[in-house]
Amino acid sequence: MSDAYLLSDELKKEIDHWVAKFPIDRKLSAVIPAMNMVQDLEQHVSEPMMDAIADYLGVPRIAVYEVGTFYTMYDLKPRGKHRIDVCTNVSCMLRGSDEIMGHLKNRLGVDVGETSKDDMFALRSVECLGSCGTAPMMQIGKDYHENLTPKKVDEILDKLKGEA
Amino acid sequence: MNDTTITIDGKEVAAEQGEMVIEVADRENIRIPRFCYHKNLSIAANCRMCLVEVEKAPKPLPACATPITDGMVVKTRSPIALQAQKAVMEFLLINHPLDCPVCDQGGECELQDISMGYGEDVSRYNQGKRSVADQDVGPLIETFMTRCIHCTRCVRFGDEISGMRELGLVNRGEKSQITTYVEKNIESELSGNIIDICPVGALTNKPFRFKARTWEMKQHATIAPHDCVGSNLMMHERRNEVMRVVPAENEAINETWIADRDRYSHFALYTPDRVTQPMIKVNDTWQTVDWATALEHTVAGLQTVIHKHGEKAVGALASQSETVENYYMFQYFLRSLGINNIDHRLQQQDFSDQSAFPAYPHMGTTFEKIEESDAVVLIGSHTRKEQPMLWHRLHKASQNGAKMFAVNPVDFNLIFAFEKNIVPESGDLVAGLTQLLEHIPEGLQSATKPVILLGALAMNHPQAATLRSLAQKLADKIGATLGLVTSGSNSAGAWLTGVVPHRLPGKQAASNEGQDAQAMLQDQKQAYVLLNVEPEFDCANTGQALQAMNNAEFVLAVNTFTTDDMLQYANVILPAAPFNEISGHMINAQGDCQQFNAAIPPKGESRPAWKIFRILAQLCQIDEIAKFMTIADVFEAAQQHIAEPEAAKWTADSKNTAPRGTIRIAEMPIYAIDPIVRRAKPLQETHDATKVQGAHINKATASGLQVNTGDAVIVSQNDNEITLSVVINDCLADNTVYIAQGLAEHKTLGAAYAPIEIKRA
Repeated sequence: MSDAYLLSDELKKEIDHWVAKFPIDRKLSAVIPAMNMVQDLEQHVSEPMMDAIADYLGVPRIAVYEVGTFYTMYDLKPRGKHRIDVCTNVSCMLRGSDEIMGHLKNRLGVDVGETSKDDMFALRSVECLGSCGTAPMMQIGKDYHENLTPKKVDEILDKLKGEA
Repeated sequence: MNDTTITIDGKEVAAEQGEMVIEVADRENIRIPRFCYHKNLSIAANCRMCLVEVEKAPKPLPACATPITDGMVVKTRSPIALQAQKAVMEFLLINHPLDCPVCDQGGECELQDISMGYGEDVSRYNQGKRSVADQDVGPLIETFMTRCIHCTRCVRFGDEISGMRELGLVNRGEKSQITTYVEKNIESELSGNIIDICPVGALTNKPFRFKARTWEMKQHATIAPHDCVGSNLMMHERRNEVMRVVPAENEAINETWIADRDRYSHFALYTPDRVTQPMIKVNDTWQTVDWATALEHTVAGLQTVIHKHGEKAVGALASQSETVENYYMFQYFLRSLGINNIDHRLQQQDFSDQSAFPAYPHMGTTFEKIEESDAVVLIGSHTRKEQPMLWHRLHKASQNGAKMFAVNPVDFNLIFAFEKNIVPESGDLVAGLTQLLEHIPEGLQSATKPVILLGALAMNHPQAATLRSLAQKLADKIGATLGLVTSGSNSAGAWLTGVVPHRLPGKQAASNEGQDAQAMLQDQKQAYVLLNVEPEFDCANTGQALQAMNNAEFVLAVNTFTTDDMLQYANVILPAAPFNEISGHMINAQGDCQQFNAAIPPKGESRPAWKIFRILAQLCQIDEIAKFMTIADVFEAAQQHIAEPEAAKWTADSKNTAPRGTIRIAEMPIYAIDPIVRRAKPLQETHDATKVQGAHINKATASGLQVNTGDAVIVSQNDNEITLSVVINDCLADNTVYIAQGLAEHKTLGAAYAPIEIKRA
């Protein structure tokens, strides 16, 4: 049973656009752009969605699962409105990411890998995001927040809460 | 060829440009340890076990992914190579559990062997090991994923060989694991091969689990008896009991693979309905007797019928998978008694061009050559399930760029792209093939090495002769090789030894032509002789066959197994030893006459069928029988008739008319093909076995009947009604109902491609 109907026509057009950029027998190459689009649209890529992408591209479903599970940038389950990814790699750790993480945990009342009760904030520790020059840093959605201090973190969180 | 010279461990060897170091080393019997490399899979180079020192290279290189260059100097046992191999081994063992005593792979484990040969005796790692959850992937394969070393052979096998990528490597780094990700069974018909290629105990043989250790078993070479490929097998036996089956390598036939059907069918050999003692029915009760009594009873029974009704009142049917020797003695015995109604073509319905047949039906090409063809046309062939290893060759042809075309009664689930797939209405393959012939697609027209194959669904079609002559026209037009892919493992042997009503051994026309398999059932006989046939499962019109058996005065079954019905209709059951307990020859579709020996002695009082017919002939006072003392004598007599494949010319048209109205489409499903397979429990638990149950119809037919999936329908053929549950399957054409043959529930129904009535229950 094909799940390709889950994809909107616009999405299919976008995927076609990407497929056209690669050799005809390299449809797997379009998996990452397709997953990016779904992630942006729905804030996560569910299993039926991965199936839909696979069926639409005509690639094995497991090949899409492999991509989905390999990259941390894809959430395979809904994680919350604002997904906070704190870098805890060497540079950030040396520049105080432990303190930032501790502060976030206290403020949000969640542990690493958890989501706050109101589904607003999800906290996660990630590996290097390539912003060592401005460590410590975190990523929320698509935005980088750099040179963090606990005060700056509070401001960011307040602003996000205000938006809601 | 061999234009380059390299030095491995001080030995100068010839090599070909483009070869990898490991290929050259393997050829020269220089052992390089490896886990991920497999000669019939693509190169992954991810286990790093095959690191070797190459002069002038700054660091050790993986032998599997290092192409040779002229003058290259490779050292596989130098200090640098050994140190690299030891280091890799130590890394691999960081997470691998040391549970060899409770692991099924113990004793035949590549990791164990290589660890002994190339590893260090202690590990410096004393932290905790990771564990990975196991998965239920179906009845054939057991998983123990903590043992996995991520060589990805199983993943590549799915991608490249079975064509179904079911396993994958998900997550990354330390969290990597081989999994199907979603809860699902592995469904490929070649899936068992991943057990063999798994270098550790992560994927093991589920039904064989904890049954035996490798050093307790003896192995015997044999031949798979379920399809016309004739895959080479190694049968592992412990104290005269078959424990498991693995492939034997033969690049020309099955390469390093076998189908699941060949691997798991042996589980049928010890089912309770196996006959191991001669049995006779006296006053409607079965008695187990000694051979002398049973044979006396048999001869008396047959002679009474002949005496009363004449030789024409006896019909003889043999299975399509007997040895040359069995076939020869079968027809020798019967013809000596003047019985000419002899046939093995149990499923065929159209015999109108039988005299135009070549010495035996063959594929017209070889398995290896099929890979090189640039276009393949399948006519009435569910090749994937009929002949899984041949399908694998077609898959390779497709990977090599061959264009694929098919005319089939069902839009079968084909795992690679087909240019054109014609599924005619009402199962009218003649119309479908005519359509292809009238509008030959460009890709077929321009092919230089096209192959046309007619499978079981065409051979058993009521207009099979017309299909053959149309296929011949197509072949002539495009210059294609035309081949027949027969059911059973030795229909070639049956033709050559005269197990057909119109020919004596070696293509000699019979002076007294007998009746074919269908006629002798339609035209009620007073006696039947069966050789490993269960008519209510194996014949084209099972309902009619069952009735014919029930009405006969005398039925002799020389069978390995009994059925409930057989206990009703048979008068004598003589225990024939199955393929693994006899020696003999079988001829496959490309014409290889392969010899094999018994792996174990016959169980109980079972005997090879050829011996049973020899002694029966002796008891019937046939003088010449004395010349058949040994199996070699029988083969010698048969051998002179074994001919080279000859080209056929099909011109005759069938006398039968095209099926019209609502038609039953039927095939012998992959796991119902013969008496052995039908009894193999692990195979019967697979999805392939269960999904063919029920009445399959497409959406249009279903809405016409106002039924949905799961609803009960009453179907009737031969004036017999049965109730089945509906399966909606859009792979079917309009006006067709797919009801499989070879299933107990369907036995009272009639033939394939015959009209069927279907209504709501």
